[in-house]
Amino acid sequence: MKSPLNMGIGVGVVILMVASFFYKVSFGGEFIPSFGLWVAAWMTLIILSFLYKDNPFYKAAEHIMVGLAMAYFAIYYIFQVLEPRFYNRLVLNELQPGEQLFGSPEVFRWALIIPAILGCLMLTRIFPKVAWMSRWSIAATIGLGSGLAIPVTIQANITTQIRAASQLPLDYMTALHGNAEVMPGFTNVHLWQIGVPLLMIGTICGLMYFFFSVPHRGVFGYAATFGIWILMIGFGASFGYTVMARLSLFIGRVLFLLKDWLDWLPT
Amino acid sequence: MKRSLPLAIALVMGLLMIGTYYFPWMDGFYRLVLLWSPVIAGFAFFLGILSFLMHHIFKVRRKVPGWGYNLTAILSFAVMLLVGLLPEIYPRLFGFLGDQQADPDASVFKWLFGNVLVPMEATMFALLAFYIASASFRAFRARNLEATLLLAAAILIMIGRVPLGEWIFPPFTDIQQWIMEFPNTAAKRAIMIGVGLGMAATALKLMLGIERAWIGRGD
Repeated sequence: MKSPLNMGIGVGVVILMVASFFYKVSFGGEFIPSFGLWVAAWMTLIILSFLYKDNPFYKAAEHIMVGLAMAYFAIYYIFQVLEPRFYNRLVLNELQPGEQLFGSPEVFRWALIIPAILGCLMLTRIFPKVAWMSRWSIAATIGLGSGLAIPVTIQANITTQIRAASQLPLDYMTALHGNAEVMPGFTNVHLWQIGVPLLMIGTICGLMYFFFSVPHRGVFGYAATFGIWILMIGFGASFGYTVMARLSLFIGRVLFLLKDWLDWLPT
Repeated sequence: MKRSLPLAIALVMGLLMIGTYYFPWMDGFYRLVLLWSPVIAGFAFFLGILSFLMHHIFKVRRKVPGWGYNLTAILSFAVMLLVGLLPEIYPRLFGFLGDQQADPDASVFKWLFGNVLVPMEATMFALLAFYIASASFRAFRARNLEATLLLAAAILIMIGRVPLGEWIFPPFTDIQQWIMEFPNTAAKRAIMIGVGLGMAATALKLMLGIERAWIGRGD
């Protein structure tokens, strides 16, 4: 494919976008829903055309999507993050109650300059001679992230999981006595009664599989093997769940084309 | 200086953040840091935009094959940015583009988002249904016990989550729920505990300067 043709297609799609602005301006709110529907439908079809093979329309749409997404997140960041969290607090002095450092809201307010300085230092990566200064802001980000991660991951990934697992024997005893409250959604009580011990043993065996400091032999080896079985069932379940999620997205797009756009299906 | 100061900054910031978790009197610093992170991330995002523009402008200027697509990316970025920014900065001049803060549904920005970006992104993810289907055809071979367990779990989950599955054999719904609730939770829990330990260890290595790949090479 020669460049002028590529450019022509790309510019054509952009012209379509620009034309849509003028339609909006000229026709007000009446025309826009159906015109927007047509644009959305064509964009959907262009992306789906990739299933046949890579083509200029798809490539153009792909590049439009990247450009639009980049600008969308830039706008989102400016008005939803930087303006309320940074500009309003530092310039307009709109601090929230309790926002103070060393007992002073003013210190808190002026301390907001520090991330701006660190952010500017990050931009030094563009200039090779002073690019090393960007390490300071990366260091601050890494340090803050690491310091936050240590207690938070220990709390969320380890403590909470162990607490939830230790609650299981109690739930199991309750389930044995036929209390339906601990079996949300289960019509078959036996499934629950089999599942709870499996969950307890499976978690321990799964952890044993990940413990490589001891050779996987003997009793430990059997436990680790059972652990890998549980892990494989977990991976299979996650895979099946992901397939269904993607298929439901595809069904959503097909329904959009057949129902919203072509009106072939009853609402 | 160029290498040791960043390590010191990472250590001090890390210790301060750990401190905010254990000492209530450091709550002010914690709240401050929650505001710091998005600001620094904003500058990093700006750096990403610069990189994006430089990449595409370079290709357009050199007229590399397919440069029209790069121009398309730049133009669509510029159009979306302008319709988002101009009505906010110059409401009198560009008010006709719609105020996305006051009335988002009437703005051109929202229109482009809803009618161009969202359908394209949704369809792009929907395409994965086909690729994931071909990936499953390759992955789901019952070669040994582990692969068979993976295959069986995935098939039961897929059948159990559609009305057809319940129509063929009603207990499929219960079975898929049971797999999600018990063996799947056991696997996820084991992985989460392992990941948690790994994350805490990596964070500690970063703070103590044992892991220093992020500094890069050279001075």
